[in-house]
Amino acid sequence: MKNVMQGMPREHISWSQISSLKWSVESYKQSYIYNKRQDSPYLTLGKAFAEAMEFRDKKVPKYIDVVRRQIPDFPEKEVEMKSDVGGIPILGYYDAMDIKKGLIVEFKTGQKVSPSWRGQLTLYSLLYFQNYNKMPKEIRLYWAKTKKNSNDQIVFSKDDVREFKFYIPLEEVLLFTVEIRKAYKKIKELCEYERMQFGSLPFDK
Amino acid sequence: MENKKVENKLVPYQKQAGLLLEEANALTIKTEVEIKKASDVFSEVISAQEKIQVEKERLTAPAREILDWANGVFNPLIAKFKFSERLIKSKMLDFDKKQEDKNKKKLAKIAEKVAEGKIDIDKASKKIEDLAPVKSYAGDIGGVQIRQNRKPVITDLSKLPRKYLKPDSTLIRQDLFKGIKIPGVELIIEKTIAKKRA
Repeated sequence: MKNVMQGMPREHISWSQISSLKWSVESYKQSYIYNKRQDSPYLTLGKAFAEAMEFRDKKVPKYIDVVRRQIPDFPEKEVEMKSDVGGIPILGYYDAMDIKKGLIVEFKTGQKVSPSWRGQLTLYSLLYFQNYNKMPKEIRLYWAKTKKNSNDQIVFSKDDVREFKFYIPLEEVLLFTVEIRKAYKKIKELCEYERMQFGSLPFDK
Repeated sequence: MENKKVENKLVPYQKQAGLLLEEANALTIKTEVEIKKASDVFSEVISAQEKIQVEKERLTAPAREILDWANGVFNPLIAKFKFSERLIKSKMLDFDKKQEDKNKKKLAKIAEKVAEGKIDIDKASKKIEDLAPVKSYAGDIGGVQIRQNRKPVITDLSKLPRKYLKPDSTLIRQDLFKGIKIPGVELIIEKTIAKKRA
């Protein structure tokens, strides 16, 4: 079978690629083609939090534990989901899920609610539909709000964990498949253009 | 030149304003004598303000006249253009709404088939390629963008939590003055100072 991802930075299309591309082509190029992803204090805190949520028994610093306690535990964590749209492989990781209840769970940290969360959860719904032949019954997102403290550090707003429930219809999921195909095409063209300009790219073998 | 003349004319008022501010700062009112003295200072402040206002009006009157004339000449013309703009916008939005409704119906039918397993996602994805809401239209010389503004619409006021309800101060005021008793509201008298006219 033809590998449609050949000559592309990753073997799958993921939400982070789509959102990076949506944000700006330049940001996509730097992050995925040239691997110049920069760590930020936001990402560091986000990663620490994600790890604390995945390993609920693991001892974590108190400031993370205070937030973790406000969020329920779910049976499945960090679930890898794969599928494809017209042969384009797609990949996503559910932060948590409850298969029996048809529930997908996503954890988020950050200072503000982001409209882009819906896009990510639409992709997750597509993965769910393709893997289970039905739409998820419930999609929940837990947002642990962060803020800058007086020392300009990113910290959690202690008692500010909010739960959001999303309803994403199949129609929206279908429309999203078009976005995936568009993103794929754009990435392919971008890689070809960069290759024409600079010869081989960092991920070319 | 005219500006300089006016500024020169204002010099005595600037001095007076400074002096009166000093006097106002220095005022302490604990006795009747002191409140009488304060009344004099207050009268002077008001008179000076009135004089300056007259001067300002005199100076700005020609500008206002020009503005009134310009508004009279230009506004009807601008209004005509605006009307055309609104008319085209409304026709475009009508068309867009019809297209969107049509596309929604098509999309719903395809989604139903996908849900029933009659067609797969790949096939559906190709079929719906043109069904996404249109974000812009382009002609030969210009294009338009369809913006989406999020706007809340209250569908059931009785379900709206109290924190989103704003009291109608005008109605409260009118009813109170009519003598109607409103629970949670009382009428208080707030005093202000005004210059006594001779």
